Amino acid sequence: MNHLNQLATKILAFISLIILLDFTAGYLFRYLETKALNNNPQGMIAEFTMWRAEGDIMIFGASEAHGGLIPSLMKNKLGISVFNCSNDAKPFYYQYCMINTVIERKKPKVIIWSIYSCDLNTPTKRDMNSLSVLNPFYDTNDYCKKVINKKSKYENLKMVSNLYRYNSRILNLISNIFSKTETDRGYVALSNSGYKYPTLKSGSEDCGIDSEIVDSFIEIIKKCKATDVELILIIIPKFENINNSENFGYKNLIEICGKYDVPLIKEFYNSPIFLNDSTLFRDNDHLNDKGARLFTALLCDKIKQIRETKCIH
Amino acid sequence: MTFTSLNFLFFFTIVVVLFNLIPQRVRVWFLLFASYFFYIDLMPVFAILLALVTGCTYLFTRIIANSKSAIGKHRVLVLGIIVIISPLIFFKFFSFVNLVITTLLFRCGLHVSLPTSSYILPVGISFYTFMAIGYLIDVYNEDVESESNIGIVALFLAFFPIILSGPIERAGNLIPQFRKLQQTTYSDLVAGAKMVLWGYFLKLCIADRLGLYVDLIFNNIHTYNGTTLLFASVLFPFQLYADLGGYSLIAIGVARCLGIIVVPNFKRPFFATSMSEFWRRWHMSLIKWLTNYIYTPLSFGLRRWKMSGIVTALILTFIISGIWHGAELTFFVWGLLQGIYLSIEVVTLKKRSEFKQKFCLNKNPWYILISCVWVFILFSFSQIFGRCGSIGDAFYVIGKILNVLGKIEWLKLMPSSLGLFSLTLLLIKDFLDEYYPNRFLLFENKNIIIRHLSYAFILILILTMGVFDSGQFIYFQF
Repeated sequence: MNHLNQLATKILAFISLIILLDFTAGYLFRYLETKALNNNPQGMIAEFTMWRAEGDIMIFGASEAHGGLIPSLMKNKLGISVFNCSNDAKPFYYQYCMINTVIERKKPKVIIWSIYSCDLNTPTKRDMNSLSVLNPFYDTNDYCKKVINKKSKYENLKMVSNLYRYNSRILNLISNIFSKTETDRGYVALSNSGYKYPTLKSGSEDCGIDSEIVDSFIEIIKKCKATDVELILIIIPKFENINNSENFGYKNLIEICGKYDVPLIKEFYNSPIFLNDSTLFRDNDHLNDKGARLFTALLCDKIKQIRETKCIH
Repeated sequence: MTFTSLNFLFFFTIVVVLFNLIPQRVRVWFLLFASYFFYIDLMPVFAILLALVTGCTYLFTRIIANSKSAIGKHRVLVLGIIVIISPLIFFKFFSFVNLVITTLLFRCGLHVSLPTSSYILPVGISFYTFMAIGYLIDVYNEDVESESNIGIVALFLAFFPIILSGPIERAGNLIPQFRKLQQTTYSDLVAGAKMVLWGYFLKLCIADRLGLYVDLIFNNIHTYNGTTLLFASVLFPFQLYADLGGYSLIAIGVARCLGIIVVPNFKRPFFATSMSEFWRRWHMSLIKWLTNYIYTPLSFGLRRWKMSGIVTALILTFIISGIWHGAELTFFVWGLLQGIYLSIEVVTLKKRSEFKQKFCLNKNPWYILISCVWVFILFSFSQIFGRCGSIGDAFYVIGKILNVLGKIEWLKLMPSSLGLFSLTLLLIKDFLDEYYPNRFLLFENKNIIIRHLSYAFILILILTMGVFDSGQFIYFQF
């Protein structure tokens, strides 16, 4: 019995030590997070978008939007402030959390969302893993909580640990405390240094859809309508000639946009303006700075046209 | 359910608790049930194969034990080995043999299409097959008694901590422990938990972190320059060590928490000063198995060839080891290289010993350092063949390393840099254990505060730096 008591005491002492350290580490990480955000907001895109980013137009998307839409150019063309909140390699659910949070925190006039038909497909394991950047917001943001819980049935258990929430973040935080990322209100120009101009890919694509993602997508559309935020969906050009005639995901995307009267600017995707000039691209999936300037200009004209038609100011 | 999943932690905790609560007479059956539950959770259908191999092993060992005639015993042994190894050969080598036959026939002008197999390799089959064959030979050699309780034989082959990737155990060590399963002692529980903790650190903070970089580079060998490929080739042996070493430690630790002592699998391999010493420290259970059941009989059979016999036996043993890893030309070359390295060492042993004695090099730190680095270079070079998907890719990587230099892709290394930090900790620990044993103790320190802070420190590193989403262990594919 003595032996068991001794064991129980030791285990209890060790667990207490771990809880204490975890609690302390949580404070330390939050402190580092704030310090990194103050020093280099552009290096902490998720935190900055969640808490601070502001603009009459706010842009969301993954790397294709991060290096494809230039806020300063848009401001000159449209006359209102723009911020590009795009974050590389982030899937649908990341955008879902960010857009919902931004609408609730600071209602922008327009949201531009870069989307592809395959974004409505069931997320891959890699997609879900990339959501770990949302872990620190688990307690404070219901959208993040909902999305993180989709990763596995034990996520709520894992999130008890402060250390786990900041898993793999330590270097990122430290580097952002000591370095600065220069961006044009979120836009990062992609150069072709070290990259050859791509060769055109062609083929056909067929993406499925995931009912939960479609529901979340419609939820955002409805929320924008209810809060009077103008939502504009765009498909950014890639250097690939893709036949979408049999693409289930693409058809669904168009159908949803039609049903809820959401503008979908898709004419630059597969457009000869882009497909005939490889010097506009860094690689097959990303525009370079030259391509981004051309695309932004064309997009602004299109947005002006849409807004004038709808008479929304 | 893999060792790195939360499901496994729940499963393991429940098994340890129940194991200690139930009466001794049912413990074997309980562990057998738990082991099959664990295995079925991975791939239900392959449990049938495991059960069949178990049945055959039990049957053949009983027949050998009860057989009076030496010729009869030998025939049963040969038949038993053929029966037990045939599933492994079918699943592992069917496609390879098929390809070889089709290619040969094609070269002779015959266009023949043979039936193909779409089955995946049952996880753990290489390990439990080797254990079953080892047991059969041990019974034949009368090194161990044939076990009459089929439950114990089944548990020996299916024991959940070691079924997926070893260590490859011998019946003489495990079966006697299964016969008298006692309640776990406090010291066993603590020793086991420490090994599990360190094993998780190796796997999650080193292997999977370095894997982010190594996999990225090796999966895109045409994209990266020779310097980057060289750096990835240097990191890969560390990734492998942490992966299989981590797995082995978790397996040994889990078994220890049940009061069962499993043989170690690694002993600071990167501090070996010769290839022969390296292979006494790396994947020890496999090498011991190969030594006992392949190298020794072979070298005995070829003893009339003297040195040539030893060299032939060494090369053949390592080629078999390579083929055991996979039916690919890359693994064949990998095994051949190990055989050549060891043969050169055997042939030059006398002269090297004289040289070392003449210049008093045995304890010279510079000589030891250079030897360790040299062994590491040889092993890393051979591992290029182990890591690349095809022999063409391996030669392409080697060619690029020699000819196409450039800057290392440091940016791609960023996610793995935490792994480099953890690797440094591992190498420091291995260095201290190797050259200053019992001097700088952390987990084993007598001071409870230092001990507990060490556990907590490793736990914090695992939580902050571990990669929790990477999935499998490298050796599951073998």
